[in-house]
Parts: sequence; C-alpha cells; structure tokens
Amino acid sequence: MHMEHTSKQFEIELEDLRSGLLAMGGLVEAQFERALEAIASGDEELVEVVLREERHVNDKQIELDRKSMEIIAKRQPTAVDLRQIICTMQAVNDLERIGDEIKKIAQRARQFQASERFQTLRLNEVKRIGSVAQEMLKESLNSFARLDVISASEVIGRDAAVDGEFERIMRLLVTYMMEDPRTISAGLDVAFLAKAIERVADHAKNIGEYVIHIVQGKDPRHAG
Amino acid sequence: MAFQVALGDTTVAEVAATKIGIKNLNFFYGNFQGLRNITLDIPERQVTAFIGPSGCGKSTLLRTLNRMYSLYPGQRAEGEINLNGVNVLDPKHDLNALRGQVGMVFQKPTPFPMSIYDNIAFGVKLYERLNKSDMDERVEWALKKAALWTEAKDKLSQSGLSLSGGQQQRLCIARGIAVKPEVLLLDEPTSALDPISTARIEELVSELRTDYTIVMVTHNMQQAARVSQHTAYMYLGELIEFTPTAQIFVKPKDKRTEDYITGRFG
Repeated sequence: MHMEHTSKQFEIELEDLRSGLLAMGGLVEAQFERALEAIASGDEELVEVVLREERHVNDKQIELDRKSMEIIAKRQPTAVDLRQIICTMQAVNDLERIGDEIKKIAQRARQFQASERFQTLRLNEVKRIGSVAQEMLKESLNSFARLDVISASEVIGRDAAVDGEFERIMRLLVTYMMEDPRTISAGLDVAFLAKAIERVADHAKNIGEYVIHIVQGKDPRHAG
Repeated sequence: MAFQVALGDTTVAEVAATKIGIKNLNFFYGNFQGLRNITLDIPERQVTAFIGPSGCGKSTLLRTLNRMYSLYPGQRAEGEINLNGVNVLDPKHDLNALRGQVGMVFQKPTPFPMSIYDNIAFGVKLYERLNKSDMDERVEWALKKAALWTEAKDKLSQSGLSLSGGQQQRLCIARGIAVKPEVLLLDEPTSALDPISTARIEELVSELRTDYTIVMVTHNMQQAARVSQHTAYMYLGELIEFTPTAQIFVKPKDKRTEDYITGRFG
C-alpha cells in the first residue's frame, strides 16, 4: 500500500509488531479450536492444554504492548503508522479478551463432562455458533494481515448473524428449562457457553473495525 | 478528551478570519520558478506551519510575505498576497510599513552587535518616536513577552552577543515584537537550539498566538504538530495540502503528505 520508510529500522520494527500480532492471533485461534473440541468431545486433556497455554497469550499481550510503546517513544509515528500502532495495541487487547473467553469455555467443558443433561441440550447449536465465531476470528486476522478492507467489512457484517444465533439459542434453552426444570443447571451452563462464544465474535468484529481505521483513517466504531 | 480538543481546534480554525490571503502566487529566482500557483488563506491569531523537504519552497513562501526577497535582484513574485485585504506585492505598497507589520525571526539568532537594550530599541526608533521612559517600558514589555526579562533585566547594557543561543533567539523574537507587528514570521526558529531552549520558544509561540498571527517554517514535524493549528505541506514549489494540524498528522488528505510525514520520502 505504501512505499517503504527511509529508515529501514523503523520498517523492521513495524513489521515485527505486525507479525507479533499475527502470531498472537495464531495462538488464540489454536486455543479456540481446542476449547470447542473439548466441548464436543469432553476431552479432559484438551481442557488442561487450553488452561496451560493461556499464559502464552497473556505474555504476548505484554510483549506487544511494550514494543508498541517503544516504537511510539522512539519514532513519534504519524498518520498511517500511528493508526497501525494504536490499532495493533487495541487488537492485542481484544485478542487477550478472547483468550479469557476461551478459558471460560474450556472450564465449562469440564463441567459438562459430569452432566448428562447437557448432552440432551443439543450440542449442535453450540457447534454452529462456535464455527461461525471461529471463521470470523480467522477472517479478522487475515484482513489485518493483508489490510483488506473488504474482508474486514464482511467480518463486521457477520457479527449480527452471531448475535441472532445467540438469541435463538437463548430462546431454545428457555423452552427446555420450562419443560423440564431438571435441565436448568445445564441450561445455564450452555447459556454462559454461548455467551462466551458470542463475545469472541464481538472481539473479532472489533479487529475488523481496526483494519478499516488503519486503511481509511475513519473510525467505524459505533457507526451503526 | 483529546478528540474534543482536536475538534475544538478545528472549529476555531473554521471561524478564524483570514489574516493573509495568498492568491495564485508564483515566485521566480531569475529563470527558476520557486513557487507554483500557491493559493492559501493564513488565519488570524493562529500558528500556521509550513513543512516539506529542503528546497520545496517553504522558506521562499515565508520570505514573500514581507517581501524579504526584494533585497535581491532577479527575484520576483507574481500574484497576490493580501494582508488585511491589501495586496502587499503591489510595487506602490510601502515596504517599510510592511516590515513593521510583518516581523521576522531567522534560523540562526541574529542579534545586532549592540547592547540588549539597543537591540530592541533600534527597530522601534525606525517607526516611533518614544521618550526615554516610554522606550524603557517598551523594551521591558518586549523582553517580558519573549520570556527573557528575568534573565536579561540586570544586564540590559551588555552586548546581545553575550547571551546564550536560546536567549539570543528570544532576544530576536523580542526585537521582532517590539515594533508591535501583526504577523510574525519564524524561519526554523529552533533548529540551532538545544531541547530546553526549543521548548521555551515553542511555549512562547503558543503564548504569542493570542496577539499575533504566526507563520513558521520548520523541519521538525513534531514541532509543527505541537505548536501549530494549521499545517501546509509543500513539495517542489507547490502547495500539496493545507489542513488543520490535528488532522494532518493523523489522517492527511494527500498520499504525498502521508509519505513525507511518515518518513517514506525518497
């Protein structure tokens, strides 16, 4: 999009920041995959891996925030560079929050193992919203990597579908719980699980919005 | 909060009256054209910064505003520079009166080889006849305005050259404002100064803005970002972009401006 900086070192620093964010995104994606898998299979081992790996996501957040601050202090970035760095810091924050949601998902998976009732609550619903959120996260990171406004806009557009899906799951759960009060405990677990997945999609949408801010210089947040 | 400040500045920028209206200005060094069709309205009581790579014409533009170029044969300007609506490029325009209205401070401090007091009184005497006590008052006023009074008040009879670089530059600013101009032109006023002196000059510029229209050329883009309300980016004698400063360093309109301010130039 732009020619290179006269300062090669500055170019290297920005590239390093960009690839750092994508590496963090890769970690989070892998975690999400494991957590959803753990929900489906009830694999205790996977839950452990997710909880153990969470710390790497947090480390990445600290590392990338420090790098961003260093670049700001050293280079006094302006215009597209400034927007890229600020938006990277925000995206890092969103990825870390996704990490937290994933941790919640994994912890639910552990509880579900003990709950037979949960199985009756149709895992398919959760699988569907999970895979849409997963695609959104992947696409948001790809759009950040390529600074692709079109795919970023698509991610933003899909968030409404996830919100709709979440509402649908809620209505479904309420119906179950009214029919058979013994499902209430498991029903609430599924509700929290769906909420965590829905939040992942929200954060992916934010990342899409940063891409638009970087490229076009206009802030699309709270636009609609 | 930052956004409110930025918006506030933009609003101020929009309502400010034009102090200097530049229209279709072309400038020639003999056969070489240094400025190409510049049209630009410099707002009153604000700081306007000219930025751009060396040789882009920003100093040339500054020097046309008080017709400094007319000291040199073979240099000529075409077009209009309307100061308070009066075209100063009109050959009939009184050059001395113009220099009184539009003061200038240069890159290197240029105190006269005379006392601190006389450095300031010298210019005033060209325009006004003041008695001793009025002149004393004027000198004190100018030195206070230029934030040099506390440092200089006990050595007014010492040579201006005995001051430090930063103090000398403030003396030149005091000399510039002592004749009570309407516009102050600053040509890279801090490029020869250390960071502390630079900060003091910048602070001074921000304070002087309440009374004067200030136009400054700077190579230091952060300086333009810090002290100006409007920034003009020039390249090869052309005005590429003129935008509120709060906007130009976040989202410039022109890609050439963006490449320059982000350090992607050539």
